[in-house]
Amino acid sequence: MNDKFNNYYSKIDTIDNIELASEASENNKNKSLISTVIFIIVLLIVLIFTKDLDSNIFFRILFTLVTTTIITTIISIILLSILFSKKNKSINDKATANIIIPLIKEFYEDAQYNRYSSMSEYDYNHSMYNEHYDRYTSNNLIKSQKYKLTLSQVHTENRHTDKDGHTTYTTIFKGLVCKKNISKVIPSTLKVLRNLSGLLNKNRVTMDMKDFEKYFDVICDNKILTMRILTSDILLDITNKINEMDGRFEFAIDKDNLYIRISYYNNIFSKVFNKGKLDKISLYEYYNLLNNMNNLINYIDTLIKEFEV
Amino acid sequence: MIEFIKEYWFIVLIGIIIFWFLIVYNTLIRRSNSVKSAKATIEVYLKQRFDLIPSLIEVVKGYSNYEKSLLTDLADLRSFASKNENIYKNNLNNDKLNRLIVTIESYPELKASEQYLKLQKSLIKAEDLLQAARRIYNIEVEKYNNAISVFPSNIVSNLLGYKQMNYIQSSNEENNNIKVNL
Repeated sequence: MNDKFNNYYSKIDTIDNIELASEASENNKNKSLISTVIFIIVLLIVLIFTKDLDSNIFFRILFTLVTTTIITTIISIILLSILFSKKNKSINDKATANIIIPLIKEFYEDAQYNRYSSMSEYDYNHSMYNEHYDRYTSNNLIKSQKYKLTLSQVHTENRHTDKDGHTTYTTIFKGLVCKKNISKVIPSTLKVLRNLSGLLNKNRVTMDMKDFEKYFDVICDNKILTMRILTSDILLDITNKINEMDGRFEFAIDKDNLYIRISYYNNIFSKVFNKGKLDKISLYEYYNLLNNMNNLINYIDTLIKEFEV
Repeated sequence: MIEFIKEYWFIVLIGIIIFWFLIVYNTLIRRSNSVKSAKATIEVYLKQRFDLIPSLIEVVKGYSNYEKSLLTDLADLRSFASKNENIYKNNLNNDKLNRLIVTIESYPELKASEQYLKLQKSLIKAEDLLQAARRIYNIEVEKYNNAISVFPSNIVSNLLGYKQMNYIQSSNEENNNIKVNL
């Protein structure tokens, strides 16, 4: 774990936050206890009602367990949301203010964060991916005026319905997406995408580095511009970043906007406590994700700043 | 349909071969045209760069401490480049131009002049465009060379007399100079 993260962690590792972690843990224990009590009560009631049932023992056990589980789940959801909604909200709000926002501010000091706000589908779709999906969800919106950027978690899925009418969803992309306004207008749209999405694209530009080509497809209608921006050194840097970073990344430059997305298959900022303590490992994952995104933003932004249109 | 194929299998086979020949032929034509187009782009950017030589001569003339040979070299280069259409030779001329620019930049007064700084931007951009065009050319040449060498399309390319093309490479010296200056 690097020094910057350790410095951040030492700042949030306070008595208040440790108390908040134990409060969250206590809350979970209470929820489990209440659910167990409900289960036992429901089980007893079901047993009383089924004791006179004239059927075999296997069917009785199965019926009792299934019925008890269903009723317990329904009652638990309703009861726990009534009993703990205020408490949960209070813990989440405190965790956001004391732990998540300071983490974001390590990178963007003026950032505004809202767990429930989303990046618009238009922004996600507008210039970069043009991929087909059936369901779009976004949350954990971060906005910074100073750095002219918007970050958000985005999840896109495809819907499949089988012949029996069962619908399932498969993930197309899940991760962190950034839209940043850059100081220079590039007179075209340049996309550096992973996988084979651009293989049949008529604007696909072949690059003169085999390692880079293994990971990325470059799409642009201006070959000269592509070669001028993506010089051999830049191609090498981008290829090296693949090995340095855990997540897969892609980017696009559209006029004066930069779009970057990094795959991340967990929910961002969803786990800050673990067993009554701060969850250092998860926090470090979120830190790394933001750090990787920030490094990419700075790298591409500098590249464009130095580029003579 | 199956009966027809059984009866006229020889005609069907010839049809397939002609169809395949046409596909390969068209691919080779496309590849060859891409190389020509990339080559034409390099020529355009080389011309753009050599067109900056008169301005460079004007800037150099304004300073008394330069070596006289520098002006002569620049003028020769301009004259040679305007007459010569060979892309490979003009690339070598561009290497020479880069070396002369290094010499010019060794005069601190000249290098710091406003006129030169303005010109330097154009020179850098022209070199930048040229590098990009060279890379595109080399990629197109690689695709073309692969297309005419791999089996079975090499059968068609040999029949039609397609030849391997050369890549354009900048000299190491030039690359070093550019890194120092730009």
